[in-house]
Amino acid sequence: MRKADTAEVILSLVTSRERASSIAGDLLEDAEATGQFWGPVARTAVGQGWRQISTEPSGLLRRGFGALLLTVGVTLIGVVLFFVAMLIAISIAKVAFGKDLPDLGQAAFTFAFYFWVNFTVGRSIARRWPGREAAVSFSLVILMRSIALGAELLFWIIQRHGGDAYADIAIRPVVFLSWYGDLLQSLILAIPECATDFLTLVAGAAYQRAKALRSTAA
Amino acid sequence: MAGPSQPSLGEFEQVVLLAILRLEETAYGVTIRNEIRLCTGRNPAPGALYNTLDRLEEKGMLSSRLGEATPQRGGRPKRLYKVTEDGVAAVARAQRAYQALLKNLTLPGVVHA
Repeated sequence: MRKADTAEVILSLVTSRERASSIAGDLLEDAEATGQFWGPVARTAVGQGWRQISTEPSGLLRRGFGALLLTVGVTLIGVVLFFVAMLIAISIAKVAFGKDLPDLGQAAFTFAFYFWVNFTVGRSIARRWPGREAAVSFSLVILMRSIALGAELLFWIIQRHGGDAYADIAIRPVVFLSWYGDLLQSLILAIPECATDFLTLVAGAAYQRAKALRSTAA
Repeated sequence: MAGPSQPSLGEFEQVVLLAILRLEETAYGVTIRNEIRLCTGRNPAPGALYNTLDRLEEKGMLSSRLGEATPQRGGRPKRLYKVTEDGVAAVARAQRAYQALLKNLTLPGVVHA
């Protein structure tokens, strides 16, 4: 019944826990006759998620703003924790660190920090807005991308009028807005960025939901 | 005819309400889909069906309660649906509108009630 548990976690990201449980049961029962399980689970999850987005866009936008503030807060906390950890490490090891981490280490650290921020925000979304995690994560991703796109368009217009625009808004290593003058490149990169953001947020939310379901079952 | 305060029903909403009325006490996701398939030949996508059930419940045309859990369902309870009085009134209104439209029309294979 492991697959039913996984399906229940997925469905609980787009509807209430009780409904997710009964829908997972229905789909499991249906699968005995049709042999199809994951396809209907995915289609049901997408359908329920899309319904939340389309029926209550203003409420979702408000929650998206809340999630954006959470992201900024978690990032700041992460940076502070990192510096405290570094200070402790330096005082214990009593060695001087070089100016920079090696390239590979820096990339791995950047990704780990980025993943941690989104995963933590995803968990908070699951605690605050249960049953709406996927829709709120979607709203957050679209909101962040819209803000970035608005700024990028503005910079692009400035450049077209002979001006010079450059922006790099970040709480290192999490980058909120980067603009180096290429709108097309920025738009192309937005697609994998949005997908990665959404998946890491949802991974955090799913972890939190699975934990809650396990604690109820125990 | 539906007045301004009376919510209208979409075609699939009517199909779902009628299927639940036919099933009486045994209407839940699987049986509703099967009933629709048997009666209409349509195979509704589960996503569309659950969205419609949620919408009808929000409109106050359906009520639901949790039923039994069986091993076949991985120990998960059924959500049993019942059409409310508002739901019965809405589907009756919609059917009367269809009947009025069909009056004096002859369609192949259609017998008027």
